[in-house]
Amino acid sequence: MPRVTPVIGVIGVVLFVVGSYNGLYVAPADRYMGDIQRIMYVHVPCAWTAMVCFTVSVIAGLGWVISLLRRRGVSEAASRPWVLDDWLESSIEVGVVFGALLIVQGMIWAKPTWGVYWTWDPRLTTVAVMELMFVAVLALRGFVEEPVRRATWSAVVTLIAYVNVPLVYFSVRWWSSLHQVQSTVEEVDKAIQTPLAINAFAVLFIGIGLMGVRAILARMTREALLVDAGGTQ
Amino acid sequence: MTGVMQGHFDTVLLAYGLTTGVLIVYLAVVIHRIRTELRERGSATFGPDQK
Repeated sequence: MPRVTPVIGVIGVVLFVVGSYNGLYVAPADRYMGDIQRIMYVHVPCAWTAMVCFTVSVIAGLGWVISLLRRRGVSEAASRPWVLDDWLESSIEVGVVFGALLIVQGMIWAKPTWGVYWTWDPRLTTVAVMELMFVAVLALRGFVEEPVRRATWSAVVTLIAYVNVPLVYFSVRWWSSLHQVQSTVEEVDKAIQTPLAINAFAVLFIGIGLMGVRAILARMTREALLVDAGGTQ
Repeated sequence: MTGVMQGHFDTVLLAYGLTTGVLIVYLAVVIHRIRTELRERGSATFGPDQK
């Protein structure tokens, strides 16, 4: 998988150039928001990609916990599914990057439309909590050096952190929010759908590319930790 | 068409520029860390000959 991901990332970059040009210069300005609405073509794809990254991390975390339960009594570190831990680390870090971009883009959009950069709206608050919880998983990984313990603790905390992801999605429906509710395909003009769809795939592919490259680094640092720990737990 | 927001195209460009810049810097940092790791292992596949 990591060998293919850089190629997917490059395809994503090409698509991003096409989609962004389309969104900035071809698509018409929004009826009410004017040009500022064009931020949507990068803001929404970053939100979707961050959620995909966190979903990858929770799948990896779940896989690690299940393997741990199924292999009780097996103590060799070499027999662990380390690729899951590598992808957990890479997907969380890339998800945090997209989450940070999402928040900053939202603030840039909010100032001219809402009059403030930030407000403790349900959507904004749940996104901030989600971001901080996944930053906490990365911080936890930095504190624990013993590889198996690090992987297990971060997998469990990832499962807890992921509870916030559906809350982010449904926050605009469940609570009274300044943030607009998700639009359906029927509600969005074709001229706006095209750059949004192109950039959705573009940012997703860039995210996959980044996760693949970051997983290589995660594997290398984990192998070094295993050597330091003597290779057995 | 009353109440249409005017301008802000430069603000939109700022958001796109920031996004692109952050992703490029992030990729550069990850590649730099991989190169550093390879160098520490003594198996760097690029760079000057150390002999």
